[in-house]
Amino acid sequence: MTQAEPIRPIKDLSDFRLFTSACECRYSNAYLLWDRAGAIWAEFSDAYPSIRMLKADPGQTIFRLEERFEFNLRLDRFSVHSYGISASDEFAAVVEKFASIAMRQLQIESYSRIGMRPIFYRDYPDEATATEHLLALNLLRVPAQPSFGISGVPKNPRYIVHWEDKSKGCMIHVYVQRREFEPEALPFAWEGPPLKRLESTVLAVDVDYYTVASATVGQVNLREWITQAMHVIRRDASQFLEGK
Amino acid sequence: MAATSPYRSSTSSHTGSGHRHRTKVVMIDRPSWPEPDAAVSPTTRVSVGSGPQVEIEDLYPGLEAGSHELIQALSLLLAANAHVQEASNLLQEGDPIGADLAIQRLHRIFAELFNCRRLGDGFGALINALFCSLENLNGAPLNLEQVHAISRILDLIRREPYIGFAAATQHVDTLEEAGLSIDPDGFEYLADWLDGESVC
Repeated sequence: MTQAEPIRPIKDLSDFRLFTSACECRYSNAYLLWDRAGAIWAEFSDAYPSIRMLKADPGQTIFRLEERFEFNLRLDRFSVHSYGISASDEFAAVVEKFASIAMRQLQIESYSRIGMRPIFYRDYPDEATATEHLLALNLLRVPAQPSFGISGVPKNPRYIVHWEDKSKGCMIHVYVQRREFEPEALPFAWEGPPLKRLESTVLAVDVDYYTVASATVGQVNLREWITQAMHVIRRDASQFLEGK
Repeated sequence: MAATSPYRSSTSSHTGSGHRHRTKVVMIDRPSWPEPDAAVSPTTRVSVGSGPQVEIEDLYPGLEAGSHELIQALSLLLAANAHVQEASNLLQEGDPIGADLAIQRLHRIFAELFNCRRLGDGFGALINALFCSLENLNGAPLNLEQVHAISRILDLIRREPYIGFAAATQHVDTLEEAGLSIDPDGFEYLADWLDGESVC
């Protein structure tokens, strides 16, 4: 019987995988959305014919592309989410394409806020190990137990640090998360294999990087901005993970 | 698989790829956000349209990882602005020769800036208009009004390097209003030919 290899301590962000990324852009209410939502999606589907609609309400339309990207267009913002995309180049290109169509069709002249939020995961077999590794980062000193008369491993430790200056802000959030996926009741006469409850534990690094000051459309190329934002996030988030 | 992104839209009832059955996803110990659909950051409050416009250097925080064109353009625009400022100061001090030398240095920079036109059609249109403005002078010196018109366009390009073509053409008019000719030499014949007026 082979024993599972112990998980080595965290070195830097390269020990994590990019689980999801999201880019959200906000602007003043664009009432043209009520006239042009169809035109936006028709034009975008020329570039990406395999998009499919998930939701279409007057105030919100949601489309998905190949189960990898999800686009959410609303009156005052749009967002693009990606799952399982490791290359920020591809994500940035898709976002820029969508933004160029939406901003032109909606005649939006400036963004009030642009945000990029990648979430990185590191998988663990159990919460205790994940917690141990998080505490080993020494982001906050946790004294020897018991504390407050309570013994045992701290439950769901998390660290949040937030900065903001006149033009941009950033929040980094490091936490342990237990994730559980439970299948609902199966359809009647289901003949497939039984669906099992899935559980996993991750140590997550969640970074939210955003602008505070407004930016005109002429200033912004989202492909460029996302590439640079991801570079800065990867570079600086790593410094939080070099436990000493 | 449903994600935990707080940017995420409220479509968690949809199945993941390859699954035809409905699944209920239960997240235990997920981070608490005020509402899953809304803000990027629960701590961020931005009033739409408020506040000053972001500076281009603040907007692009990692220029070392940025495109070569953007890095090059921002650097050249900085140098171009310095030459225009110098020319303006020298003209006001009554030194037209010194001002003309500064403009000649500026002329060379425009040619390099034109190499960065991949930034966008608006960028290309403005740089082309500036370049042609100096070319069409055929060696004659710029007056102060023309120097200021060029300075305003350079400020605009540096502030908004991704300006759209339509917006750029509106700003080009300010060069013409200052008495500069923005079209390349022989453009009127080409335009006539494209209009079909010269075709027999």
